[in-house]
Amino acid sequence: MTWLWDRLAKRIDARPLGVTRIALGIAALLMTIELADSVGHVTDGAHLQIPVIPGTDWMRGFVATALAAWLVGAILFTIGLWTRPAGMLLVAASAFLFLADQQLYSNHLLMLTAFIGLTTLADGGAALSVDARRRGAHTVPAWPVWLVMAQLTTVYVFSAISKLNPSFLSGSVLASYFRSDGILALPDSWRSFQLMFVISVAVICLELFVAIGLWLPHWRRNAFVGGLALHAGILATYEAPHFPLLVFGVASLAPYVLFLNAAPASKLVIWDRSCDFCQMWIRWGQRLDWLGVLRYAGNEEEDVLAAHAITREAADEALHLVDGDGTHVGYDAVRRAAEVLPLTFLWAPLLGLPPVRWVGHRVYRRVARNRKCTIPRPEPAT
Amino acid sequence: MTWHKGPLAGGIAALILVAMIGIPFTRLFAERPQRFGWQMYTVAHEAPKAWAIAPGGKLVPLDMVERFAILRGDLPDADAVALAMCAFTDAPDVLVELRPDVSGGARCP
Repeated sequence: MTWLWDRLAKRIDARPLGVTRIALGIAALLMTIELADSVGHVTDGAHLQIPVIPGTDWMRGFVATALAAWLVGAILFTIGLWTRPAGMLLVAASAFLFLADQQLYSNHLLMLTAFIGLTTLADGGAALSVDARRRGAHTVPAWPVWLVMAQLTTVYVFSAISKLNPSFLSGSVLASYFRSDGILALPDSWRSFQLMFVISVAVICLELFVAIGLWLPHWRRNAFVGGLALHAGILATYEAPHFPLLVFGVASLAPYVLFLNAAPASKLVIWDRSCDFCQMWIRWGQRLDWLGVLRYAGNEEEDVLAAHAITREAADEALHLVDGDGTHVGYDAVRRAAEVLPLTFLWAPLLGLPPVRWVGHRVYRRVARNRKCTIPRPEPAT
Repeated sequence: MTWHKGPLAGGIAALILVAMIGIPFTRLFAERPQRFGWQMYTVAHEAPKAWAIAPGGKLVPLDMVERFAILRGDLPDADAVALAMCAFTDAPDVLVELRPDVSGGARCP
């Protein structure tokens, strides 16, 4: 226990939490649109009004105010201005809406609120925020970040376990949710017990795999892809209103970056400084490297090349990425770099699948051969 | 600011973790779907039904589905729903069946 607490009590880099905060903020902004519709229905007098606590009908008069507070909180939380008060405002607005009418409860809103509350507790504004610009970025305690990760796992685990019931396993739940119109519609003839049963079991297994795989370094990349596939699959195949499912997907994927094993400056990229085409891509890589994982060296830096047993010719020919797993060259280096960028890490492991990889290698070699190097080639450092 | 290191932090973390796991765990032992249990898309139910009880005791079906602001499968309190339905009928009493195991009624004020 002492060992565990020593690990959880230490301070860690705040940037992954900053990325999570921004993604949660975007989910909260999108949620405002969903909530506006629900709040409108609850207050229009044409629909049922069901208080949670008898005698609290007065609360309905303030749900529009709570929604406005939610919107203000979502904007501030996203940009990281007064992040802690903004997070608390979001949690308070959400709690008020939950208590105002029984119909305003939703698992999606509850999950988003839990993530926001824990991110606020973890000081989500410590990096990639206006607060950090004003006060300087700093580290955050590990344990609240760990709680955000645990919350995500809890959602997947209980979602999977609660599907272990005759109704879901019979396939009737999925059969009733799958689209019946459009290009992604499931034909009626396919809605057989056998197929629906197999898909139902697969969904439960996928949820459990993601929940566990995110914690295991060996399976983490697959869990990223699995989680993305799960949420994209729900969005693509379910007939339910798609906007709430989109919000749910964004909120669910927001904490994934916390599982990314990406220590600052832990991966060295060696690139051809004389190539203006490469320079453009490196510039993009630097812009998108919000976690600061990549550090760069030019192909003329002989001491760096020697330290990693890379020849000058090889460095002139292709991009190299050096990390704890070894040295990756060309397309593999690009792929490995994409696996640590917040915008690409969820799907980048797919770039390693055999057919994609074969095509990737060919395309990389062709582009590398035909690239223009108009910048004077720097002399080796002496 | 060292609160995040000491016993207070440990206590807060343990409390949150217990609630995080304990609340959905207790929800597993009731008919699904339950609130606060992360039981999204776990069962398919028929639409809820409502009846007005006419003075002679006759049950008159009410169109309730269209009355929901948001039709949720996990509404917990059928009595409150029945009371809310009173706003849409002149009948003195309303009966509601949200799910096979969740039904209730209300005497309209």
